[in-house]
Formats: sequence, C-alpha cells, structure tokens
Amino acid sequence: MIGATARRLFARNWTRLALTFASLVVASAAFAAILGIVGSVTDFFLTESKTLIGGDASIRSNAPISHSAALDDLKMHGATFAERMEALATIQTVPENGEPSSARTALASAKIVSGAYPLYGSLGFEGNAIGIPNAEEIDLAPALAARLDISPGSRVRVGNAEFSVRDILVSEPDVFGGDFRLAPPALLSEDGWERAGIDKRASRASYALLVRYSDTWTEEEVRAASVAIEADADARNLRTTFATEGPRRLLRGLETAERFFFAIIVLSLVLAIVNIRINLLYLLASLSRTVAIFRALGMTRRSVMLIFALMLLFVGTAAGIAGTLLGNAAAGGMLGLGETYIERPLNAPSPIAHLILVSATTILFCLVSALGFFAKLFAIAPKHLLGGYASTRESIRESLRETPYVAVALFFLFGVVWLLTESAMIAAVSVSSVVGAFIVVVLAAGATVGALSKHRFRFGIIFRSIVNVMHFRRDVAASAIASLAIALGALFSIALIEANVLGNLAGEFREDAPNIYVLDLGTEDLPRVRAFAGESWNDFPIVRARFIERDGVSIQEQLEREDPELSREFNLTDRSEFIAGERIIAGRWHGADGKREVSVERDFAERAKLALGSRIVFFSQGARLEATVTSIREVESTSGLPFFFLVFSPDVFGDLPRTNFGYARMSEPEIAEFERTLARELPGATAIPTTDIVRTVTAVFTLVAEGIVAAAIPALLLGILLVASMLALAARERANDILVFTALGASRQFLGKIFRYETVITILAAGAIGIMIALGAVLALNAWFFDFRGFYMAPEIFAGMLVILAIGIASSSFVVRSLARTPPRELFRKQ
Amino acid sequence: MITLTDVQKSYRQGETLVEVLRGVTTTIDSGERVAIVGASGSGKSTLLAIIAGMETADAGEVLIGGRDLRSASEADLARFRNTEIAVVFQSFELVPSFSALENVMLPLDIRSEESETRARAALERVGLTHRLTHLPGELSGGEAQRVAIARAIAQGTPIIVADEPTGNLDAKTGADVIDLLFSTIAEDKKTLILVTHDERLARRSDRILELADGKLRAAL
Repeated sequence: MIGATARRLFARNWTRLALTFASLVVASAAFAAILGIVGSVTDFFLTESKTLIGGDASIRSNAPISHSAALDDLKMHGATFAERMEALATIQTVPENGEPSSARTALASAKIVSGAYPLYGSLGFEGNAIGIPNAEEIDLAPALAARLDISPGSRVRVGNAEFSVRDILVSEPDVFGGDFRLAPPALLSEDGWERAGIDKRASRASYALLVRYSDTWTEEEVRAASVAIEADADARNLRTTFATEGPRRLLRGLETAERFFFAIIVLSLVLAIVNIRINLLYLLASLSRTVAIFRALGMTRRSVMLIFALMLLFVGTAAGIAGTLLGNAAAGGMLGLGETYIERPLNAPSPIAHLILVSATTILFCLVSALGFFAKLFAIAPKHLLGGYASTRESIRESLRETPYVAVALFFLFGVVWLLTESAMIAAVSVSSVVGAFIVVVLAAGATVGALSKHRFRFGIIFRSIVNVMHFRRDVAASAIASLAIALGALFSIALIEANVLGNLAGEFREDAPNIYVLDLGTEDLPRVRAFAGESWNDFPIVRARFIERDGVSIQEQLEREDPELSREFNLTDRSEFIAGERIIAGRWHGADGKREVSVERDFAERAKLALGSRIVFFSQGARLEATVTSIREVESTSGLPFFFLVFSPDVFGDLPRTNFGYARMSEPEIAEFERTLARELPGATAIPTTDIVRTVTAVFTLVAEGIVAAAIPALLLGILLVASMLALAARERANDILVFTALGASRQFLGKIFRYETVITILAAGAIGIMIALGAVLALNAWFFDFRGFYMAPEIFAGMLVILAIGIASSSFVVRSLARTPPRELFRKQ
Repeated sequence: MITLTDVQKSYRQGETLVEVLRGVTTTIDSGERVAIVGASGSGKSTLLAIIAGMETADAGEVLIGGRDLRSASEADLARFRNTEIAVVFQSFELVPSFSALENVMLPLDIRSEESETRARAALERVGLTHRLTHLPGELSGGEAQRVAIARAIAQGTPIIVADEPTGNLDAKTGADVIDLLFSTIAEDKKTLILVTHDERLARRSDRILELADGKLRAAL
C-alpha cells in the first residue's frame, strides 16, 4: 500500500520535486567530476611513475652528485644509472651572413643528460632523431625554435661552442621529474655541455641521478635498494623520490588541489541544502492537506513518513546516477584538456566509476537535507483539516524549531568535507565561513525587509506589493537572497582573485623596474659588462649561504623541522647604498661604515624570529658569516625591483668566493643587442629578460585561476537554478494574487512590472551583497595572503550580474505571461 | 444600465461541447438589485463573469453603460473592471500578503488614485477600523468578507456583483454581511447583481432571475 501510494503521489507531483532533483544532480556531478579527475590523474601518476620520475629512484640536489659506495654496490648488482642536469643558458643563432648584430638570442633551460638516459620511456621529436644528441648537436623545444626562428640544420651558439640543431624536441619522458622551469628546454649531451664551457659556479643548476633497478631483482631486493639509496641520500643531504610512492611532489600537489576543490564544493552543497529545503517547503504546502486527509483516514505517521522517504529515495537515486554520469562526462572533458597540457593520455573515468559511492552519498545528502521537512510532516495531524492548515506561511518559531535539523545537515556536511579533505580544519573553516556568511546575510536581509515593511506606505503600489510579499515570506525571501548573495559572492571573489593575481603580477611592475637580469657574473667580468650594459646597469655580489645560528643557538635542525623554506641556501649580498623600493622601518641603515651588521627584510625577520640586536650566523663554503641585525627593511617584492632578504655591511664577506648579479632597464632592441654581446663575450653568464618570467608565471596563474573558475561552476548553476526556480515558484504560488489583481483591473503590463521589479530588486540586492563579500574577501587576501598593494576590479563581475539579471527577468516574465493568460473567471470557477 | 442580448457561451470539456449559456437576454436598470438563482452548474458564475468583464461571450451583445464588452480590448476590459464594476467573491479573494487596509486600497492604487483615506473610510463603514493592519490570514471569515465589501465600496464603481457572498460563512455572520451589503448598496444607489442559492436572500432583491437550461427567466 505504501509503495503504491508513494508511486501515485510521485507520478502526480514529480514536477514539484524538480528543484531538489536538479540541485542534487549538480552537487553530485561536481562531486563525481572531482573524484573522476583526481582518480584519473592519480592513476596516471602511479602507473607512469617510473617514466615521470625518470627511474625507479631519483636522487636530486642543487650540486653535482657523486657516486657513493652504496650506489656503486647497486651498480654491481645490476642497477643502471643516468644523470640529468638542468641550468639556464642563453642560446644565440649563428647568422649565415656572419654579421653578429643580426643574431637572435633566447633563454633556455639547458638539459644535459648522460649515462643510460632515458631509463624509462623515450624522447619525442618532430623528425626522426633517436636518443640523445652527440657533442656537436643540440635539440630545441618548439618554443625555442620559434623564438629563434630556426629549424633543424641551423647552427646556434651556446657558451663558447657552436652546435647544429638536430631536431625539435616535442616530449620528454621525465618532464615532471625536475624543478619548475622558467624557460623551454634545449637538450645537450654531457660532452656538448663541456664544449660549451659554461661554468656554473653557483648552485643554480639542478642535478639528478636517476636509478633503474634490475628487472631480475626480487621485491625484497627492490625494497632493500630503496632503503640503501634513502640512507645514502640522507647522509649526504640529498633529496630522493621513489617510483613506488609515485611522484610525491605531484601527488602532494594533487592532494592539495583536491582538498581545495572539495572546500569550494561546500558552497555548492550548502546551496543545494537551501534549494532542497525551499523546494520541500513548497511541496509540504501543496500536499499538507493531502497528508492530513491520509491521517484522518487512519494512515499512521510512520506510513506517511515512509511514503515521502520513498519518494525522496527515488529522487536521490535518480539524481545520483544522473549526476555521476554528468560528472564523469565533465571529468572526461577536463582530462581531455589536461592531455593537451601534459601531452600524455589520461584515462577518463568509466561511466560506472563512483556510481555507488556518489549515488549513496547523494541519497544520504538528500535525506539529511530533508530532516526538517520530515519533522514538519510528522507534525501534520487530522485536526489540521478543520483549522484550514493549508497556509504555507511559516512563523519564526516554526523556523527555529527546524534549526536542530539544519544543524544536523550542516554537521553531516562537515563530516563529508572532513572525510574528503582529511582535514577537520579545512572542513570547519569552509563550512563555518559559508554558513556564517549565510546567517549574517539572512539576518541582514530579514531586518532590511522588516524595516522596509514598516515604512512601506511611503512607496508606490508596485514597490509596496514587492515589500509585502517579501515580508509575508520573510524567511524564504531572506534565504533566497542569502543563497544568491553567497553564490554570487563566491563567483565574484574568484573573478577578483584572478584579476588581482594577474593584475598585480603585471601591473605592479614599476616603470623604472629593470627588465633584464644577469646571473652568474664573475667579479673579473664586471668591468666588461659595465662597459656595454649602459647607464642603467647596477650589480651586486652574491654569496650563497645557509642560516645556521640565531643568538648563539644552532637552528638548522629546528628550521628543517619547523620551516624547511628557511633551511635552504639564501642569496646574501653586501652593499652600503640603498636601492629604489627599499625603506627602513626599524633601526638604522649600516651604510659604508657598518661593522658586522646586517639589514633584514621585514617578512623574513618575522618568519625567522629576528629583531634588532639579534645575532645571526650564515654558513658558506666553510666560512661563518656573523652579523648583528641593525635594521629591518620593507621592500617592494612585487614591483619588479630586485630585493634581498639579507643585506650585510661590506666588511662581512671578506675574501669569500662570490658571483655577481646585475640588472638594467633597456629598450627591446637594446636588450637584444645586450643578450647577443653577453652570449658572445661572457657565455657563462645568464641573461633573463623579465618579460619571459612574467609570461611564464602569468600562464601558470591563469591555469590555476581557470581551475578555480571551473570549480565554481556548480555553485553558479545552483545559484541560477535557485533564482529561476524561486521566481517561478513564487510567481506560481501567487497565481491567485495575479487573478485577484486582474479581477480588480490590473493590466498584464502592470503585473509584469511587479514581477520584473521584484526580480531586479532581489538580484541587485543579492548582487550588491555578493560584491561586498567578494571585495572584503579579496581585499583581505591581498593584504594578508598575497601581500599585493594594488587592487584590480574585474569587469566580468558586472557582465555576470547582467547575465543573472537577464536570466531572472526572462524566467519571471515567462511565468507571469503564462499565468496572466488565465482569465480571472477562475476566481468564480474554483468555488 | 446593463443589457444582455442573446448571449451565448460554451466550453469544450474533452471532446464534448458544453453549452452553458444558450441565448441569455435581459436588462438590468441602474440602481436595481437583481438576484440570479439556479441549480449548480447552470451557468450562474459564467454569466456573472461575462457581466464583470472577466469572460467573453461567444455570441450576443453585452452592453454595460452603453459599452459593448465583446468588442473591448484587453486594456479596455482591465479599465472596465477597475472603474465600472466591483466583485465580491465567495472566497473573499484578498491578497494574503497585504493588510486589510492595503487590500481595500488596491483597486485605487492600480488606477493611481489617492487610496488610503478612502480605504480607511470604507473600512470604517464596515466596522473594521480595529483590523486595518491585520493580514487576511489573521481575520475571521466574516471579517474577511467585510474587507471584501469595503474594497468594493472603496472601488467606487456603479455596479457591484456578488457571487455567493455568504457561501463560506455561518448563518449569523452571513446575515450580518448581507445586511451590510444591502445597506451600502442602498446608501450609494449602486446596481447589485447577486448570485445565490439562498432563497431568503434572493427575496431581498428587487427582481429574481432564474438560470435554467442556459436561459434566463424571471423566477416566480
């Protein structure tokens, strides 16, 4: 009986559950898409691990890695080795006319490989090249060949030697095995690099020793080899990665991305809860009389609850399945895009992947979101038939009675996010910030509507009518405005973050900021560079050293444990003059006469717990560099001006070997000429035009920003769904009001105006709150997270508002037009 | 004056054509109080809807104050409903989100006329000055119908049509509402067309018309 009744009720009311269904589909699709993408990329990382890392094990350092006894022992037992080194180098074309001024230059990431490279996978070329080039040859990435405007067979100069371009390198197996590259790669052999004669005295190059285990080794032998490599690397302070664990850096990055996206999904889930709650409120309003009749005819409460639970179970299951299929399809599309970036195939999730997990979660989510509805359903008694219970109006007390059930739903949400992100903190912060903002907006919207209602007689009939309806359904109207405001706020925040990251990266560059930097200059080279670099040239000595002591206490181990970033080597400099963009905020500048003094950048001082008077020791090439902090500086780290965390007084470095760093501001032709001269005169030095770096970094940020925008799409869909359905439901619910207005002589234009104005007011109010939320969030992020000084508005916000307004006006106009077709004679008929 | 000449109206129900009005002809003078009676489904409400400009006749002539409603545009009909005829419904038909005062102000607001003073006066006439700020859901059935009558008074039309105005009220309250309606009509010298099943109520009118078989005839 229960099943049959549920089926009959559902058949006649399924359209009333459309909003619940659609909300669940969007939320479950987002869930399935993230699971699909992360699962597929993780699988890819794990199955392709050996290729991506470049071997079964990879040992890395910023200095050349020598073979130890432990590694020699592995070699004796069948292990194969390959070496890989990467360093920035300038490549220059060799003009056929022999005229140096017509040569082109480009910054490259020289990749020097030797031994049995590649241990796994293979290099991909545009032509027919196989293996690594010989000592006379070089392979260039397509971007480099395009920038230099050359093709295979052309000749280029790297350092002191000329090379023939063998082929165009289109793919590398171990593309994810090294560090982040600032320039496209150029492949050379070890002999070729020696011919070039580039001397990298500082540790600016990255080195990797790649190990391939013997195919005949047992699992036990593989494990023992990994243990031996790890112990050996630890002893020599080298970094290791093992294929059995996958590319850890990438997996950690993926895990972080997954957590981040799941945290963003909270917004969608909260909106879905609101949608479901509102939808079920309307369902309850339209079916409460039916339920009261069921009860009057002897149906138990348990049976009534079961009937509706069955209906929701069906909706949840259908939505879960539809959402999983949609999510998998979306994941397939995104992975297809990803393939073009990584140039490797990524398996899209199968249609049934995650079907059970996502469907079960969707059903549970649906039922938990409906707890408040079930509580109200439970309270419907036969006596309500006598009291005309059909009113849909909720009193504040009734809403409060629902609070515990909403709290259970939010607690469930917190649990799901905790489970997905494995972080109670992320779950708590994301759920509480969304819910907190929601509550604040609900209270503010409710209070505003209340205040407007008090003074409504000051307004005309159209505005008064809107205020009356909002006041009459204050909790629903405030929920709708809050949901929309939060959804829009999140979307606007994302657009603003993107605009501010990109704008600050490009826009904060001062006009006088240098646009070319030169690294790895020997002190003896400086007079020559100064001669051809022009007036804007400036240079500083650099000593690379590690922070080892603070106020007489050794801190290297503590830093490695608590803040590994501070345990790396830092570029130290000494100078007596200030440079543009610096400002002393505490203490006094040491000048030329300072004795063992150091000026520390503000953020570094905070992080390293340094204050005026702190005694610090840096260690470099066997020497202890001791100094007292006598000033704290503020620098413009994003202005494009060079800055140093630590600037010592000129007496500290003594005779320590050092390299030099220089910069200048030049016109584009001057840069080209400077690069050519530098490549010819000082092939060991590396010139970095900043426009290249900005372009590379901007590309990375754009990619990240696009990912964030993609994650916000479900929230946008739910927000639009909410607006459209709220307006449609509100208009439908007021069908009788429309008839009464028409019977009293209101024209269709008059009715259309009321609903259009109501839509515009609702969306503008939500949009204004959303913009305020976004501005607050992004200003806070700029100040405390990114440390950006400039604020950039995103015009997309206003375009987004126009789109939402258009959708809202179109949906309300459509509903009003269809309702206004009903002649007012129906007011007689229904009696 | 209201003149109906050979008014016809039919509806399609599925595949069946139901002829509700088969040539209704009558004249109602200004200030006259006419009751229309008839069995359920006889077409009383359809006739009332046609007179009130809420329904269009298929054939015949509907002249109200010299205006032919059949040839009126939608905008003209809306204006007609607002200025020429007021309706008191059986189910009151008050806007639930509007207070009693605002419900009475509504027809005046729609035509952008001063409304509050006239609405207050109308509510005073029906004895509801203490319920001005109450929402319809907070009023009893009798009070709600009195608000509906106040709305018709405030609307200031020469004609009031009432469709079973006591149908949802108990006998005592119904009698009070009818007394109020008739006294108001008499004071303002308005034309009243009343649809009712209640014989006693019908007898309070100047003339009783019975609708049967789609035609109107004088009741005995």
